[in-house]
Amino acid sequence: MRLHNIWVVYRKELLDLMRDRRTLIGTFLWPLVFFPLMTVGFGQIEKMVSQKAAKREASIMLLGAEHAPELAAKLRETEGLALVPTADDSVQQINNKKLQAAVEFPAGFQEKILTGVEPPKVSIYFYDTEGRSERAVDRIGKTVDQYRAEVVERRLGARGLMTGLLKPVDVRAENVASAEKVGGIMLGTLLPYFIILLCLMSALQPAIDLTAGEKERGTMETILASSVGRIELVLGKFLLVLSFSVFNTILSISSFAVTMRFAKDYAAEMTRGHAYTINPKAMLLVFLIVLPLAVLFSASLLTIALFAKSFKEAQSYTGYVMLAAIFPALISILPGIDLNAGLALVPIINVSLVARELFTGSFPWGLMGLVFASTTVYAAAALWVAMKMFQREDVLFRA
Amino acid sequence: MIEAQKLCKEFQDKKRGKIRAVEQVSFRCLPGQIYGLLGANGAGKTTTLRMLATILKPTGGTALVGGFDVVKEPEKVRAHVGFLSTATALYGRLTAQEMVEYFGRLYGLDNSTLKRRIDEVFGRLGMDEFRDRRCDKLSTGMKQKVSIARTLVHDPPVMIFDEPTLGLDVMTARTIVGFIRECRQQGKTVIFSTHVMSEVEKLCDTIGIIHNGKLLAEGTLEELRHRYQQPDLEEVFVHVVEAAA
Amino acid sequence: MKARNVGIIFRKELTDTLRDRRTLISSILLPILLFPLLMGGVIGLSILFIKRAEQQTAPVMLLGAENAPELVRQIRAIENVEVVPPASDYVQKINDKKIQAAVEFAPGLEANIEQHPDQPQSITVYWYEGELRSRKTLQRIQKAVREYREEIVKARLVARKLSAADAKPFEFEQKNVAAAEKVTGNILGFILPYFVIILCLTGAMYPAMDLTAGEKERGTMETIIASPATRGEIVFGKFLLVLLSSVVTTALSILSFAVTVIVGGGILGRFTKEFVIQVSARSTATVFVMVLPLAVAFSAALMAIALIARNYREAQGYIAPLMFVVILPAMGSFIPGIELNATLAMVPILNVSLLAKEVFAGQYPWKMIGLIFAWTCVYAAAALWFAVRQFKREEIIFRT
Repeated sequence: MRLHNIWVVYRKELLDLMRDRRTLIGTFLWPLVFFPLMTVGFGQIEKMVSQKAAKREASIMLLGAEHAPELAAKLRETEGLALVPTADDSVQQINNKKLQAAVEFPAGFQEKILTGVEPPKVSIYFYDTEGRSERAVDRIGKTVDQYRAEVVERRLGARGLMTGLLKPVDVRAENVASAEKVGGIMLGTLLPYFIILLCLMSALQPAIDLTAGEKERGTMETILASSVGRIELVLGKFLLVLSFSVFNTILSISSFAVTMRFAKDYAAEMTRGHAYTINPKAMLLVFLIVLPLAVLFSASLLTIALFAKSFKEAQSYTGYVMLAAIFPALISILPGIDLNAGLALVPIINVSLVARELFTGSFPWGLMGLVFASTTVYAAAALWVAMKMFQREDVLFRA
Repeated sequence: MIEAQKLCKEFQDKKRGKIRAVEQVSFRCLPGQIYGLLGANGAGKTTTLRMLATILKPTGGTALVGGFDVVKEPEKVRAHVGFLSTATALYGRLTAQEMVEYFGRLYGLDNSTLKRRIDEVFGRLGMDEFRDRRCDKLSTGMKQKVSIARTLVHDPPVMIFDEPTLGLDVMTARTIVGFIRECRQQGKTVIFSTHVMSEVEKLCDTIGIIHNGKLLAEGTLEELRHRYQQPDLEEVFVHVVEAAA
Repeated sequence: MKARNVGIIFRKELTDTLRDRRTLISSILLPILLFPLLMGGVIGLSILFIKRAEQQTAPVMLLGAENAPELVRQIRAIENVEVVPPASDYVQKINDKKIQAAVEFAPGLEANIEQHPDQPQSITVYWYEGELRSRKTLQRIQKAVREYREEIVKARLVARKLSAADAKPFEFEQKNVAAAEKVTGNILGFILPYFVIILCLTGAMYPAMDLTAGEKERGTMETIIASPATRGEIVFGKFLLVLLSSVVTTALSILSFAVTVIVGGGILGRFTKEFVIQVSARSTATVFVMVLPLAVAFSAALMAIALIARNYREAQGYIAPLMFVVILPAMGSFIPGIELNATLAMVPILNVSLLAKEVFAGQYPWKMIGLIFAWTCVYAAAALWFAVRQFKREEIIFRT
């Protein structure tokens, strides 16, 4: 096996692929554009929408307001609530979204609350799952709650007592996890998923092009008839696919890091408002761990695409592979799943979970080593299979 | 009958600008006669034939094919023409019979006529044994027969062939040549293009030599040999082409 | 243009496509079956994990337990909570997820509750914000404290001869009065419009490419062009197949998705007791009618664009970016609070997405429906016209 030949094959494939405009866009443009667009785009829309929603007034109807003049007056004054005249069809109107909520006061409400023994009940009618209605209920609830606290104060005050009586102890929750950890939880879950996905997708196109594409263009036979050895050929092609995948992964991670740095407010939603910066050490480690995964993907896709006779066929085969790879990646997003020695051996999931740990600032060295080793083993196996396949005539010359 | 009247075709190429693929080509082919269009690759044979088949629209001039004008009544022309070229491939997933039936229907044949014609054509071409086989499972020779059956199913008075024996082995090519002769016997007007000299010598009543889009010479084999004082067609061709350069 | 020829061409394209078994399976059957299964599987696993996390014992550290013996007793009694000995490195332990929370009782807590009933006291719970188990533990502790508090309040009231009504003069409750159909529809209207639009597009993609660029690649384009069929007839025959594929894919996908959701049963907690999943037939039919011209527009546009390509691969290169141009406006249904108006009604794709959202929720703004339907038909007609025009251009049909 001559290294020089591998290099010759590699260079030609690189030159060829770089002249394909579509590949260029896919490899360079896409990872750079994706993250910024996603965070800024969604962040912006989120902002606009919530601003608008906060300003709007909710229409509410009071039923039996005469029974509760104080509370009714308070509701009238509440910001964000607009009272509409009483009517019979409140339910209908709520269903039609013309009315956001209706508040019903039972008879004798005012008297009962100041001196009575049996507490009366106020009913708030609303439209479940409808955002505006739920917000209206929130606002009403706040006002009603405040009013109730006032009434309690009055009742107790009438007997010379303080309201502190009713609040012996309450819980104050204080977060003590570092900003990295908190910010990293959501980010650290989604990000590995995207990185793995992009790594896979960016290996896809060159893999197909260099195998089925060659067969289709009729150049496979030409290269096979030359003095290049089969192993040299497959290694040259494999290295190219790997290059693309790795390069793309680097671009993606960088693009993400830059977005996080410069568009912090937009990303606030994802990091729960904490200042989250990616630890460069973590990034490097993630990159190192994804590397064998990229080898695994590149070798596997190359092999599978080799079986196809045409571009179209290669697409359908690799489509299956994509689905098979996405599934474990998706599982790693689920809450409640944590890295352990067993999972460290399962391909794809292990990388995803380890990356999550790294992004939240923890460095489980033992597990990391296990993940790296197992992925490397799988990658080596895939590469060996690829080399074997390139030697089989029935695969190379499928017609 | 085919009558080409100063046919012109210009293309716009992004890099090379305006290209004149066919320039002022005029010729006539009568029923019961075979006209051979002889020329090198890129000479304009395919473009000319495509214009006659109304696949391409002439940028200048016109042609009467089967009595109809290619520019003014292209649909009527197509209904009376059988066209075969290297680029008219078969639908791989259809059977030989389905392939021919499809076009038969588009030619407006009703079911009983279609059935009759298919039986006739398949019988004559010896295709009955692979009637129900999918086209992508046929050999090259069989595929060519299916293509021919397709061009014949509606019994058109005019047959246009573009390099019909390209890439075929000797035996299959002979079948094709024999078939073209039969068309002439049936009184059809036949025009075909090629760059295989022996075919032209064997088949054609009139030969047209086309080069760089222009019809440089026309006549029977005898007339051409005499006019250019050359022993065989290949020498005539080379002489004519070199003189024009 | 003869309808007969369009029919002949359509029938042949249908036969041909149905025989392309391998691609049928991978482009059509698989997505229809697989995605619901995938989603179902993922959601199922998700619920499993959450349940498991809930059942795991949560180590909790108590700091200053001597200050609140009664409360500590109640906390110890919480199910799945395991009290571990206090240490000074609780912050680190919480960060490392070795303990889920640490509860701090200020000195003299219970004594103060006893002796100074007017002063509210508080305890601090340290936790890991956003982490699943830490949050669950926090919630459990909060619940235990609430129960403890209520007991004390009750005792205080009794001691002073007050009634419960003095603590809670009145109650209020929320009651949903929207019909089950409307509640379901609201939820559906959030994600379904997006899916329907995307499915419409992807269902049309493969046949659109195959019947144009694919034909060029296989060499059969010239064969059909040389037949008596006019360009318009050829376009319509093919277009009808692409449209059929789009509609069928969408319908089947939605169906299989619906079946998965219903079979999945109590997937979303809401769908257990109170709510019955009820989809109004009327709204489904209306949305279907709305989406139809959109499917037409997609089919025609995809065909016109794919025709430019010389082969299948090139066609993919043109069409794939198109996906994103469609995805963004389709996401309109995800944005809460956007309301349709005459301007938005003109924006293709977005208008259908927003309208479908409203229709699913049981609203029928007939004027908007008419307006959007009309606009979409205009776009569909334009796309069809464009496709026919493309087919007439020699430089496109014969591009090599």
